[in-house]
Amino acid sequence: MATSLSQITDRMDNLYEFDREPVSLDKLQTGARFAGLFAGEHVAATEFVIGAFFVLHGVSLHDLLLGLMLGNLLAVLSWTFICAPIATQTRLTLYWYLRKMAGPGLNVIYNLANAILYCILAGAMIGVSATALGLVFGIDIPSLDDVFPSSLGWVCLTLAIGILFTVLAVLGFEKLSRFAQVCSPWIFVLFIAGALALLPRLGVHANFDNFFAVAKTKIWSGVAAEGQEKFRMAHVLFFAWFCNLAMHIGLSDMALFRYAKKWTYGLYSAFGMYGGHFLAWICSGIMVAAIGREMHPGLMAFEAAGLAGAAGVFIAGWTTANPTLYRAGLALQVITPNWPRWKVTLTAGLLTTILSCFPVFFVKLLDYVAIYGLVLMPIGAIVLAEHWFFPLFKIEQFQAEKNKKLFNGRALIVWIGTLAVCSFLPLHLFFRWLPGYCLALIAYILLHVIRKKEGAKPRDSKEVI
Amino acid sequence: MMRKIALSSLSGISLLCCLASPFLFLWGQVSEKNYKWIFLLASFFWFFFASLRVLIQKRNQRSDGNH
Repeated sequence: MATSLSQITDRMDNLYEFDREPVSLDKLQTGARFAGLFAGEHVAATEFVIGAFFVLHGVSLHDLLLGLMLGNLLAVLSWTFICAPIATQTRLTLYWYLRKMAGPGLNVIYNLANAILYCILAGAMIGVSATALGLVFGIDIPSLDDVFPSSLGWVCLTLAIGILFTVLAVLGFEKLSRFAQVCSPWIFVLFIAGALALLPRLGVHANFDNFFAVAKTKIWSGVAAEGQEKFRMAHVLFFAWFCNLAMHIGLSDMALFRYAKKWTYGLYSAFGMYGGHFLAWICSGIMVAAIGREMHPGLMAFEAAGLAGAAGVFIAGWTTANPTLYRAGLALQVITPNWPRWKVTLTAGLLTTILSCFPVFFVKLLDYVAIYGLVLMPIGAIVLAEHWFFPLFKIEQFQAEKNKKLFNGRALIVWIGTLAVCSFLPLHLFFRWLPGYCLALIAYILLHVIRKKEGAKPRDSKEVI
Repeated sequence: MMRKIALSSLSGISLLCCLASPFLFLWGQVSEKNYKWIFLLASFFWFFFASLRVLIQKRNQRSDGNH
């Protein structure tokens, strides 16, 4: 068991070999590049769904604006004060930094968890694209309560789109990435144009003098759609904060910020949070209200901008599913020995395609995003504890690396234990990650403090856990 | 260099047209149908010029690398 796991970790190390060394100073990037990256990355297909869901969940205008302002601010501060400082000090990716602390074995588990979560996310994006193509073929999209496929048409459509996206990702991931760069400013404009064009349908005058009155009564009225839970300011605030939890608190954006000249570059994430999420979610909220509160991104965009709008939803799903498929493939490569890149991407794509048939991932996207962040969050707490708090408490850092351990048992206990506690917390799903994060942070430090006090000697170097 | 500037300008103008078209509809200058046509056409030009710009940029990088 230990030997086969060692082989897996060796293979994984080879995969990530190219970024093993800390980034050299001559490769650091300018702030403008970070601003562009964030602005482009945070206007995706899922934005069509998230903003619309806030309307369906009966968020009031006051709660929406305040929640988005504060939530996005907290996200920006998380990037700036948690992720960027660690990245600029170490100049390493999370993969290599976590390996020092948790051991290569835990890294494998983390990668596999990430791969599965990526596949589900890409599946949700295929679902969004399917709503656009469904218009052409007259296929009904699933209702908000559907877990399993509701019609054969939906299954055929998602399978066809999934296979198409997979084949295109296999044929040319890099070309598609360049195409995505071309698409992102246009998709951003599509959101704004679509919302503006649908304002007259809601009764907004050309001079916008009654905009806020209409927004309060016809868009963010504070009344939830039938069967939908009522959301308040705290829900919006927490959602905006944890929407990219795996990236900032979970530290996976260390891969990005290791190229930053200084930690304050974390503030450039505001371009993605305010220029992207904030505006896009407001725009999709307007669009869904204008089509009678029906969760149908394809129809929303078609009504807002005609053929270009429907094409925009399809393209947005495609261009955001593509890198997600690539990342899932990369993470899956650890368990597929000697497989070429295309074969791994194909496998990830097929798994994603099957998952995309299940509408639950698309119609329950907000809950899924919360679970995604929650699952990976304890890893961020472990890295934060080891980076900042271990020196304060005079605890030896990187014990897994120094003792050549395959697993850091305490890290694994903290990860699983935190998730177990979070699953039983009597709180709304959106709020569970924060106490969970504090718990993981304290538990990880405490376990090491206790061990230090016990004066236990380092275990045998080949011992597992 | 000139070609890059020209393509950047043309793609920028196309995107501005995309953004301006809903305002024209909102202010009653064009019908909804015409707004959607303008948006579609401007989108087409955006993709054409922006893709061309990216392709040329890529080709220049490759030729710089060869030298």
